[in-house]
Amino acid sequence: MVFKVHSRCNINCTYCYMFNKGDEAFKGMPRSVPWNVVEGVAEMIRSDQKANPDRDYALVFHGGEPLLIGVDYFRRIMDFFLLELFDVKVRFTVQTNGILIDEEWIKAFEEYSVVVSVSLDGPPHVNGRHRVTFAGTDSTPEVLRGIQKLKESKVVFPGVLSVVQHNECGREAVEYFADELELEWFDFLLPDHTYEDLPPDWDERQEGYTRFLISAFDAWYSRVNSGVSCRFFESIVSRVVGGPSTIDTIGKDGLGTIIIETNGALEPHDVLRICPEFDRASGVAVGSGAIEEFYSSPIYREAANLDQRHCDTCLSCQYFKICKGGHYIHRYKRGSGFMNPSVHCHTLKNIIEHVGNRITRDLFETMGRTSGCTPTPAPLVPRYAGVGDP
Amino acid sequence: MPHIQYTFDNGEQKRLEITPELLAQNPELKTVIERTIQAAGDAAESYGESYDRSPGHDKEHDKGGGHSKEFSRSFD
Repeated sequence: MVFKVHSRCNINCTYCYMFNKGDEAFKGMPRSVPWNVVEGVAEMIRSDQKANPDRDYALVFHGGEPLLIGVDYFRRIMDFFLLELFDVKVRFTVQTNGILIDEEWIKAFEEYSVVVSVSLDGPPHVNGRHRVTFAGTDSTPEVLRGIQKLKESKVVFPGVLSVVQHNECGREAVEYFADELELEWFDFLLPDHTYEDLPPDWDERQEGYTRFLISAFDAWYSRVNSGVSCRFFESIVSRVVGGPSTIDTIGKDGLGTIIIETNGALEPHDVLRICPEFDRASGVAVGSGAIEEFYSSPIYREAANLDQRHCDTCLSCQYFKICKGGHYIHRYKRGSGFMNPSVHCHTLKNIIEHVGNRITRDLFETMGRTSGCTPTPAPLVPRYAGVGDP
Repeated sequence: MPHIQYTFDNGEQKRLEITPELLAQNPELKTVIERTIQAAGDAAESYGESYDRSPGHDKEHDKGGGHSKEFSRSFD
């Protein structure tokens, strides 16, 4: 569950889906989450757990920028949750831009055992291009200070979320995260676009995203045994060999996200705000029984259905079983809704093919090493051909 | 069972079953697949874990035992 505890942000990333894609819903939201919404969230989880005693929960403090609520209010919220949900397994995490992290926040994160992740788009010269302040200045120095504090503390800090940039080098991003910052985890997000807001150079950008991800994958794969994790690539590898995915962009398996807006309203996915004319209001708010009610709501059923319905182009693609059409929001077009290939189709196909070929060649080399001979007539080179039937 | 389909330039298409024994000889792939099974298991059993604009790898959770699944069961 994504808990939007603050509806504003202290920086102004150029590509932000919350504030810079035309949606103005944030203007009608309270800035900091009101206390009655906090109580409603606890009630919602408690009532769901009574009906489902073996269930556990993940609650992400999100926004806007969640740390804008201030550390005192954060402590009040956490004390309340720990008291009200003392016998419920809830994993608390925070997704932050890192700028406001100071000693007080570090103490709070440590005391409440909260997992913290930071948004960072690569080395400083890359991050500073788009993740800027309202004055247009680079936010990177403050972010790196926050990251350094996390690394020096006992806070569980897995790493960073990074938006792929079409005109940057993926290998450099991985080297920066893994070798210079010595992070154990990073993840890549494809930029949020629909068919309604594609830049005029979209084809060139797709080539750029492809180059970025291919070089990033190679750099990451060579470091896998050092413990560096990347959810985006791990999901692709898993799907390539017929396994599950854990992320939206690679057609995740599993239950849908619940967004808890700052005013307590529940929504299926916050990035749906970039889809013009799509009404994402569920009519359900936090409180007893809200999870069950939300999953039964017409809007959730429609959103879940969107994830399962695909156009013929997707269904006939050899890589559909891997990407499952990508993130459904990236398939949106006025008139045809979500029944389109992803705007990132070209990129997804190319990175899947690259990963598939790499895995296939690796496995053949392994078989050759272990058996003492190649399993196929040389010099034929195997090419990945998608996931077959079980 | 995890598997891949592959093809050659001569059009021949085959399927390769990725057995635990084969994976044991390929540390990188073994690491990645085991890690993803762990994460997928956690995500499937935890409400709200699939949102990709949020932290992933959770060392604390892993310390607590997490949810381990047999290698091949997750691919059924």
